Amino acid sequence: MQVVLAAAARGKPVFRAWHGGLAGLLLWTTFAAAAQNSALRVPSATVPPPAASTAHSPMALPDNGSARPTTRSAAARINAARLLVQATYGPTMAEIDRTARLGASAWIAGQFATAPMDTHWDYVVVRRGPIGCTVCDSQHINATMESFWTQAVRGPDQLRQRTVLALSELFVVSTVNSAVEIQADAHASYLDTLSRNAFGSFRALLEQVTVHPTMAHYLSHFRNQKEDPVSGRIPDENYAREVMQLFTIGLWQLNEDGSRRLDSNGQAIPTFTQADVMGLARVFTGWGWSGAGTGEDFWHGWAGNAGTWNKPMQNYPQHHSSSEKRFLGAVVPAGTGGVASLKVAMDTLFNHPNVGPFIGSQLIKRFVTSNPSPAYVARVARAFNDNGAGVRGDMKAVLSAVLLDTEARSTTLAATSPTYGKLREPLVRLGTWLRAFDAKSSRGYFYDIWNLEDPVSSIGQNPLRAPSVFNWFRPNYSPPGQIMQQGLVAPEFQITHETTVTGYANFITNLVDRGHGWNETNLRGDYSAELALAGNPAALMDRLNMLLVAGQMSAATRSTILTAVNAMPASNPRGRVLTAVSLVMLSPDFVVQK
Amino acid sequence: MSKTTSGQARRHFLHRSACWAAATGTPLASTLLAAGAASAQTSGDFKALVCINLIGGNDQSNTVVPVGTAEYNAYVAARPTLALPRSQLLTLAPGGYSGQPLALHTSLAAIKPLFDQGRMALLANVGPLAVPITKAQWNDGRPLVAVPAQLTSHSDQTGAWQTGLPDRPSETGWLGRIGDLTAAAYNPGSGVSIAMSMAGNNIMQAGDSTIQYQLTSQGAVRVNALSDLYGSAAGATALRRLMTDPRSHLFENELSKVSTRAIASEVLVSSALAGVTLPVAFPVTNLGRQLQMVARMIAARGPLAQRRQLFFVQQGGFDFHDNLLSDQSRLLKELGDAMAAFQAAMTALGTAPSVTAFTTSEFGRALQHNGRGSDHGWGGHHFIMGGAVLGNRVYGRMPTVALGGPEDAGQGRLIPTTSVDQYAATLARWFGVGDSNLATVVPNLGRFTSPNLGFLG
Repeated sequence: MQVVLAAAARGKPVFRAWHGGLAGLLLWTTFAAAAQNSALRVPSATVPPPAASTAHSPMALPDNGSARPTTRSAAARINAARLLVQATYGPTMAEIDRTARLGASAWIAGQFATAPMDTHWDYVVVRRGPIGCTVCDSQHINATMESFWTQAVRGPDQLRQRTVLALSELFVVSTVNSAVEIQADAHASYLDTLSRNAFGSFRALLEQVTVHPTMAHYLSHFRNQKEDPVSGRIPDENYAREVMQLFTIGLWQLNEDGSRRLDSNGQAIPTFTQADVMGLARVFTGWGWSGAGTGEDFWHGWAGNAGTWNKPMQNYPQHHSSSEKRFLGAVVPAGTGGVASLKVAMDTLFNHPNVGPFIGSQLIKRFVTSNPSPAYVARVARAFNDNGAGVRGDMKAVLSAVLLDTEARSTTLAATSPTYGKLREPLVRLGTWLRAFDAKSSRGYFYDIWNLEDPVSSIGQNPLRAPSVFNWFRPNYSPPGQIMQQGLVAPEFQITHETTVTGYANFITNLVDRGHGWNETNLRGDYSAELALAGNPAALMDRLNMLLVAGQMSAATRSTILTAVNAMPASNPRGRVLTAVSLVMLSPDFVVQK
Repeated sequence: MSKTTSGQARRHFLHRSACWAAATGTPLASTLLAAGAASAQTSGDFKALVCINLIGGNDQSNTVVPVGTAEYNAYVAARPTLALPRSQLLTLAPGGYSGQPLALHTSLAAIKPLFDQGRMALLANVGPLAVPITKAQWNDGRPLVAVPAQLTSHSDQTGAWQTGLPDRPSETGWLGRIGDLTAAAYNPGSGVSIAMSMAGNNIMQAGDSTIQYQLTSQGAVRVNALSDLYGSAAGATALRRLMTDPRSHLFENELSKVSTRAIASEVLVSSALAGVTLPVAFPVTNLGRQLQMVARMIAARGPLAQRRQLFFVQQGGFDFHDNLLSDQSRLLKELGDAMAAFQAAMTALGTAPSVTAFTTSEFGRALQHNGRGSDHGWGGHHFIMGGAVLGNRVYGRMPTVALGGPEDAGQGRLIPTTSVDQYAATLARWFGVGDSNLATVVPNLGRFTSPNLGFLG
């Protein structure tokens, strides 16, 4: 009987080689070589705009029909639109034009310098409504959802908003099966924390997440107590495990390119053991509400400090383990306090060589493509390890590396590889419609979007309501069938099945026509630009192709939709527009971002 | 890449069968039926398996509690903050059982009578194993024999349970492989998959030829605009083509396949469910609604042309690191009430002997407490319910509920004494998989002594 050792299990590499056709492979080789020569680790402002280097590709030219602009500007606009599909909640025509002029790296640099329009705390707690609200009656967790969508759709800091979404799916907190099911302020503050740290240091982000009372409630290290030999109590292991497994280093030791390291027997090597979990769990003891003191009245929140969701937790020495703490090779001597222990834990995790490939590959998957090449992962990991100025964990460098990589920017790759790209997640599909058609209600830009979770009547996904800390979808999820057989992953397919594809179709056909919500908060799309083109269906399709599909609509899809639009009488311009918008948003060309 | 050897063997088997069937003119279905004929054909030869997966890792120590004085005291000593009062527990009187007296969590009151009446059994300390392992071989966490990879990781142990292959990658799960072996034989002409999930995508129902079908607690959902998009038939035609035409991009094509399945199955399922009413009310809980739809699909088995069905439902929230006492009380009550309603529905439909429901969960939990809850463990206890179950019995081996006991891997995390392979094989055999094919369902079965735990007739 062949016995396979434990470490051999799941030996398949986390990240797959890029599976393009022959033509794609040749192109890929070219682009990889180019990428190695370009200074991707240098802060983005000094990186030459990739748009300029890919604009010459003849394969990037769209079928723009009668409305075709000059080829060079068409290519630049497609490059711009692709970047905006990857890095925002969806393009607008104005932003496509602006980005086409700027180029990718200047656009990204501008985004790094753009402040959020608001804080979620101000929306939810201070004003209880949007900036300038006259009716300020937002309440419950719904207020946080409104604020989420307000910033997602209206925020000028679109890259930050998408980074917050990506981080919220990595450092997951949820109102489902949770100790923070209803606390609007808890989730508002948590989103603000992700937003504040989105372009800073990953080290700071990790610590801010760790000491955030919302995360501590969700993963139960809030008021986690030190071991007690009398009752046999041991520290709660929840956060210690998940901060390693999900937030920093993952389960298997990785090479820089994201593939698994193998031992001398060819076996994958776990990153940690149960002993590491138990050692690290001692670090996460004694953390509770912020307060002016650390007595029991503050620990329990009786001193009036309960509910200080917008303040990092503080450590209560009497509840912190004073034992020696051993984890991942680090030894924190007995008697070390909570803050000093936390620093060792954070530094140890942050400096682990896995973080670059583990976090970098997940960010690639959230923005660009589900199956990056190992070389792409390695380039992002190197940017994580060193931003070019000797700084580790600079999120600006990491995001620049993700978005400016040739594998992100190459329109040729996008047009030719049958495996490139990713499913747009449902939240982003909705955001794309809200932005593209400037949706508003009689109350203006008020986003009364409280729950999208029902897979039958809605889109089967909602901010801050993931089913577990494993998010709506895991980064290495692979749907059984062809995708799995090719050794590829497609995370968003975890929530893509018979019910959700049906629910999405019904949601979109209704949304495009009647908008979202009811009465004075009924968000309706503004189709005036599209209505102006209703008499020229080819031009209408060109516009929607650029606005929604970054100029990448296949000829077959275009033809199918044009037939339907033309079948709608010219005397019904609104019918033509609704038909065109709905069908584009239900086409695989839209759902699969490339 | 990572096709399992079992997967290859399975395909070879099917391939050989098909060739042989073609050569002899025997329909493949009959061939497979013969292969599966080990099972008794009862109740119109209809059978269904219903997997109830408890997400998060149920705490087994408070689900089934030893109530002998010494054993109960050891339980309390290990988890003084979590121990349930003995007076509140529901004492069991299992037949043929001479071990420590046992009792159920009080929230399981609804299914306690089913246990007493012999329609429910307990499988003690079951979990994923690569090979049988003793405490000495566990060697204080530096195991001397193979163990499942990444013990105590939610995602990995969910995979280990559901693939039945804890020591290697697998693209299929054991319900899916059961489907591969039975669907053609029992459900010829059914347009709906043998494997139906009310709880989203899962690896457990993925097979080589078996593709799970998702439906909701409300039934199958229709794409409303398929015949009329904004008043236009041409728009509807375009919509259908966009959703279902084959595509050259791999992800687009997968989307297209899902949509094609959704549209075709919906017509069949909605039609089959029309007019199906259940004579039993279900609790209005998430799990209650899922099991109600399972019962409706069982009632619709005739029009669905299905003599075999494999269902998957889930209940979330079992990761009891804190608030264990209140959360587990609530969740076990939802579980027990929904299961009891389901069994009542099966009795009313006359399908009780043909339907077996069983629980799974990625791991049990540590016996030792953390003050408010318990942490990730390994082995756990599970329930099997149905008219074919030889119930009011304890299968497997009840562990010593004490720190440092013979099954303690540390902090009272249980080294399983029964493997998932044995659990799965027992269910598969009852369902109609022939003995010679059990190793296709659970390829590691030969590593364990008993392929039949005996809880099904």
